[in-house]
Amino acid sequence: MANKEKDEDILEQISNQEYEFGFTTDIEMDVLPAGLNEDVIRFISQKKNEPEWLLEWRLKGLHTFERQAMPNWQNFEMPEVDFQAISYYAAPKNKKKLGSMDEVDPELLATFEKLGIPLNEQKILAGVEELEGEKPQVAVDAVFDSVSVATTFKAELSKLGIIFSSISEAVQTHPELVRKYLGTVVPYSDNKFASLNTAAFSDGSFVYIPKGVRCPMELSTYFRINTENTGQFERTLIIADEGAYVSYLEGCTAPKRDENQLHAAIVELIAMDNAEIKYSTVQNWFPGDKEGKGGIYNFVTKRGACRGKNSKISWTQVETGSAITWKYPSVILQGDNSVGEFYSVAVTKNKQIADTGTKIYHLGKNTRSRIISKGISAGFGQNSYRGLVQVGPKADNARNFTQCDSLLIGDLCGAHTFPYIESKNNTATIEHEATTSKIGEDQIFYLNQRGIDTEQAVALIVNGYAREVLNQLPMEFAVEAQKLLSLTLEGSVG
Amino acid sequence: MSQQVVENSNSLSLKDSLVKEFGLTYSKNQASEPEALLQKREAALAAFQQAGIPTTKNEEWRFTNLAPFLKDSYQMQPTGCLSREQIEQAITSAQVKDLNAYRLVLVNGVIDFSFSNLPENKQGWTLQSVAELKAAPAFAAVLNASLPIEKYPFAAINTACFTDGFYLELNRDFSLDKPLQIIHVYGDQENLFLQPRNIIQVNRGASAEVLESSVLVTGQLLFVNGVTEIQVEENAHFKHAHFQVGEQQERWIMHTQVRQLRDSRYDNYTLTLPHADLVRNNLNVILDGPNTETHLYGLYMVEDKHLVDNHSLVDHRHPNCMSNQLYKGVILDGGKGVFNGKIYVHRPAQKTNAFQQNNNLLFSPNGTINSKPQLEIYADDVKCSHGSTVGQFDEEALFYLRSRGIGAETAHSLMVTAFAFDVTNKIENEALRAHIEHLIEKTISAAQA
Repeated sequence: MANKEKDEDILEQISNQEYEFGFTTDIEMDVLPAGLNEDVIRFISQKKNEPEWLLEWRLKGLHTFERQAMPNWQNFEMPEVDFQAISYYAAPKNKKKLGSMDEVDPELLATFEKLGIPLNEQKILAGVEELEGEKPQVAVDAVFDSVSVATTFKAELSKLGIIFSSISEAVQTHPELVRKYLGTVVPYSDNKFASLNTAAFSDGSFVYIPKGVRCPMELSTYFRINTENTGQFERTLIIADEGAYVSYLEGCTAPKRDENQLHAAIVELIAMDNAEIKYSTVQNWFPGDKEGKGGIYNFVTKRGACRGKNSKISWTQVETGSAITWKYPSVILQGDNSVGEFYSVAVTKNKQIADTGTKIYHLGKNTRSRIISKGISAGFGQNSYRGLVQVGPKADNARNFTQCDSLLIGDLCGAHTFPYIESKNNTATIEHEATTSKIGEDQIFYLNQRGIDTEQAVALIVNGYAREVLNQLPMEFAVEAQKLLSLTLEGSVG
Repeated sequence: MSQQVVENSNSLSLKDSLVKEFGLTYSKNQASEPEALLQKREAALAAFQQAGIPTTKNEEWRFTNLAPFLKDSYQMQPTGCLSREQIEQAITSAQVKDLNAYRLVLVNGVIDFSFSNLPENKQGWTLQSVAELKAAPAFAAVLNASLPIEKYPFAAINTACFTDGFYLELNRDFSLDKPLQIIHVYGDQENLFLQPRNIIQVNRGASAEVLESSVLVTGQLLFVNGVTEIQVEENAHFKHAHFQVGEQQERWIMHTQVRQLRDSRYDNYTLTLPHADLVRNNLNVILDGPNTETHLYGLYMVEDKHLVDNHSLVDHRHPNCMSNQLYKGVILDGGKGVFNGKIYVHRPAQKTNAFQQNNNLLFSPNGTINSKPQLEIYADDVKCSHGSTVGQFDEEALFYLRSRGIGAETAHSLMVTAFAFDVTNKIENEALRAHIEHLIEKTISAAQA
């Protein structure tokens, strides 16, 4: 009995000690020791000087996260993720730095070369830090490598009343807006990874487009000032007020190395009356080696709410990277006459896995949605489309069209389709069609015969196949994405 | 408080009463059944106990909530027998006009030869009750040969508890000259839970056409948890139609497991019309040889808070197989329809052609439809596609009919008949086709009354 008490005393002491060292010192810390608990969350919140309500919300997220079981319905084997082995707070520059370009994986360099990326950018993307006294470059906002460009943009945007900043900054400058909208589309208890993100989100973007403003340029993380290493738990919140329009780009065509294996981001979009949000993603995270080892797990919760009448949200994604891509960008069509769109190209090769698709909830009257999904599997890749189209009892005249096609290259890959169609309204019209096939030998033969080799022929056919989706991307992005597709499939034919 | 305890002990949950039923039948079976079968039954019970009665948290039962059907208590064995008049009446009501067919009658899952009318040539076929057959040592090996019961809790408890059913075998190269109509007559003074097990073996080169239907003659509740195993061997051709026209007191969970060997063909027609409370069809077709052909046609009309759930699996395991599935649903006032079809193409199954289509017509505002067509494909040289639609009457077509002086009711009826035509026109037997078309019309005019 006495022993037990003693043990408990010691335990208590130890835990207090840790607290003393870890959380109350004023010394700047770069990285918090691995582990997730209340103290860690409090520490993050304090570091960011967050208001009380945000801390409480994070804690709710944490408690929900601890309660929730790992999902088990996905069409792949869930890798072991040790949530306690992750450090949940890191000051910028968590990346392993390389001394010079010579240390970079030559394959990666070759890819940069083909994509036509300038040398300076290549260094940043590969995480090379040269020692010539320059400041460490962080995050992709530096891709355009000029603070002045960003500042000019920012001035122009703020003239229109557009708020575009990191979410941490927005919490300080516009707490009322953040509080009003944060977590209203993806609640803290949505799913295990959403809860984790709620508890531990590091940073992300905040965009607010005021009434009647049409954002004059494509917004992107590229231009964002003051971007820190947003890390693995990114959180994005975009609000388009009445009559506003914004197009937002996320990601980057160049392959990006990252030391964090698990990425659990959240994106929330809110469109009010007559507003439109267009969100485009090109994702090319490190997919792991040929055996699929070491690649990124990209588990993202993306959801948009068409709150207002005649509003529109459109998701476009080109997914070529990550060992596992697992996300369903969704749209909740609340407002009457609102429109939701989803365009996706997902490529899996080697041992990559993609389980992606969309969910569209028709709640308002005369709501419309369109889903175009193109999956391409090569090597041992497994590609699943999983989609939900739900029509509520009040969603009169809802209209949906879904098309999802799968292309198989090689006989060891897989393509799967799991659409859910749920209608509670007899005025709804829902169409779903899916096909799976390989590239036609006659098509390849035709191109061969015209002097185009098989590899190029496949690239050409695949680009044609994905055209409907690529066309939805902003122009510069579309060109890059096209190149990226051809590149990704290089070596998977013949 | 004490009263409540007494009540609870009186009304066992369905799961508990099934387990109890296993205990009762098992001790009886011990005397007559070979060891291998008893072992299979025990394993099946364990599988059932582990899985339990599925809830909506189970992906396969997401839209089919069984909870409302578990509240009633059932007798696991019939308590009395039906009178001859009742059975005769039931047979008359199940008669299909102008259908020239053999007849097999089962009363509460047990063959009754006295009402049956079977082919006289006994060379070509064998018909036996499963109760007789199960004492044979070879029986256990055939049972559930291609049915993974751990995935299907109801098939598992059927395996554990079944007592009877029919065994039909068609000998090599025998072809049945007329369709065989199998009429299942059910009824009892008490609520009844039955678990028949039927087996159909179509040997090499044989061909036959079978039509199944059922009649409930008493007003008590009936819950049928049936399993039918069908093996279609090399070059054989089996046509299988299932008419499900019921009464409100009926609950059905039917599992049909089909295994096809090379060059065989299997056609299934599942036609579900109101008013059974719950109909759940599990239709699994395992293509266990190359060059097979499979056609699955379904039509379901559902109304008034009733639920029809069609689950199917077409499992392509070998090259050069062709499968084609077309299910059409008409959801009337308050009805709930579920379609869940899966095409699975294994890696060796190159040159597979697999098609799947599900169309739904929402007739009135309160209907619900959940459709989930699925493709899982691991081979590359395949042509697979699926489509699913949910829609309502085409206003223009209606207007066209109305402008020609056709009343609203007739116009609706015409359009539903046209919608169902894709399925009904695949029924080759004219008498059957006329019968089902008549039933569709009757259902529509009743729905509009």
